[in-house]
Amino acid sequence: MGDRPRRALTALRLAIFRNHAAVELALDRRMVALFGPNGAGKTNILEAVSLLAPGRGLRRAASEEIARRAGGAAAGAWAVSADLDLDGDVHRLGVGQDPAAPSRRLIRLNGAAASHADLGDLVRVTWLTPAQDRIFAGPRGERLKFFDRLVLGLSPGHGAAASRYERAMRERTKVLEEGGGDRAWLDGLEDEMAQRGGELALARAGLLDRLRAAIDARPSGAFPKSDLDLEGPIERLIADGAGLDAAVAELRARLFDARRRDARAGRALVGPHRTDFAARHRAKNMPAGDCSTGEQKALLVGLALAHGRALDAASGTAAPLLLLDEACAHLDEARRAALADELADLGVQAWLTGTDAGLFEAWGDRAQRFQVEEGAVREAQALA
Amino acid sequence: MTSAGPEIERLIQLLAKLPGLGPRSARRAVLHLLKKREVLMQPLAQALADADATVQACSICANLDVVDPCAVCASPARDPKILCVVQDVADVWALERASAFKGRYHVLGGVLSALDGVRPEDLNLATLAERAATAPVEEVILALPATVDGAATAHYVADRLAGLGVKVTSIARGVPVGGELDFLDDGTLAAALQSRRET
Repeated sequence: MGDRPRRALTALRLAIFRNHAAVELALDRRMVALFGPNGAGKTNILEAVSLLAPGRGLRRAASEEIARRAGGAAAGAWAVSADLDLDGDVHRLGVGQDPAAPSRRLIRLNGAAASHADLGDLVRVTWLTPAQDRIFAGPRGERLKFFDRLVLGLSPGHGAAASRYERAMRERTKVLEEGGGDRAWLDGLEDEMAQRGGELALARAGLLDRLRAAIDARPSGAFPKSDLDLEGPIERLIADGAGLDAAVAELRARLFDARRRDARAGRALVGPHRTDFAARHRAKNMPAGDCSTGEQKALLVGLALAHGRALDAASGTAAPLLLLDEACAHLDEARRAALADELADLGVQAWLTGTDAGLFEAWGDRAQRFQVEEGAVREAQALA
Repeated sequence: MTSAGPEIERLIQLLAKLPGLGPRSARRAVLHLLKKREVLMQPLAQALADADATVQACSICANLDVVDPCAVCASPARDPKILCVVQDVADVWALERASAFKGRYHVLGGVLSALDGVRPEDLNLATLAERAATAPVEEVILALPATVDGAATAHYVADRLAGLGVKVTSIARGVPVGGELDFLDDGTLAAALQSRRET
């Protein structure tokens, strides 16, 4: 096995989690392949892993939705616990619904109460789900959220900066809405938006550079290369060489100039929340959104792989856990084999789901296999 | 719900409204009190009545005390040249516990938040401006929370005090004493670097 993957779960336990009353997976740091019929609960297991990281997981579910339902009412509080091996150190993680407050979560780290942010440094997770298949053709906001999640893998503080930015933005919109136009109050809120917005843009621009480098560093392979860009004035400024201070000053000025327009529109029309993450299929020289679903999926997989390599190359950050839900569904045999090789080469603990065990043939013994059926998960052997 | 009558129900309901308490912990608290009437419940009732009768807000700084002006404002040992602006009385208590500040306080009574309906006129800003503009005040320290609303309020207050001839300063943000850089979040590290100064 060697020292790869650097970040891997060695155990995962679910309780009262959607259709799984109790599930325990003993893992040996290899990749994980979950197969079974539709509705068996494979994605639920991926969702459980994603909930270990800050945020609402890959379905963005509210806490109350997750507890398994027995005859209508929730059957108790849901819980996910895992053992994470990061560079040889094993950490015990737990995330669960607060029984006294169903909309809130309790977090535990190595036996003590912790915040989700505490887990954020340890559990970095990236995911691709079928919902994202058409992300390049869909709403700008979804693409940006996707990109920001990629940035989180590199800079865990990105989420906190985004929350503060959004809070300041909502405050500013309300102050503009209520009129009275208290200049000093708006100045203060715009200052906060500019500081946090500048940080957001800087972190995004940083990841973009690393992604481009990671994409270009590989020879052309089974997964098409994409040309990526961030379309936003502040990110542009940084890409052109401006430092954080200049970016902050520019954003502050733009927000000031936009007060009247934003008051009429009822929202902020300028700022990094409006940035677009754009991708082009390099070989076909066309926007990713215009490609076929299969090609878009292949571009996304290529992007996820590049992300893993980018993080690996960046100041020794261990590659995140990679959750690929139904990733093999649109890939032909050659691309599936290429995916298995690239993931193995990357040295990440990838979690994959598919309806049929045959989809994972190319993985050989590089992946642990589990058969998932309604209410039960059992380890299966690789097909001979 | 209990079957113990309206008085106990009312007591539970009221305790449940306290921060950190909900219906379940309020019920436990009530039962605990009823088991320890002379030792706890009666002294508590008396302490509540006494506090209600005597505690008031200082008319100068809005701190809470049994006298008006409060002990801090009235004390000649406190430096009248420096004012420390805080969000709430809890912050005064924290700073007093630390014994780090020898000047006087000004409690705003909150921070600006349009979403929560706290506007400038809801805070003790007019009295702050008056005090800052009056000798012997020379410096106003802003010790507001490092949250979005706290930062916006600090900015607002600084703007309001500009031109009054006082130095306006902000407390530092950054590495806690005894803190290792490795354990800090990005925001704190960035803020700490920004507020660096010459050694």
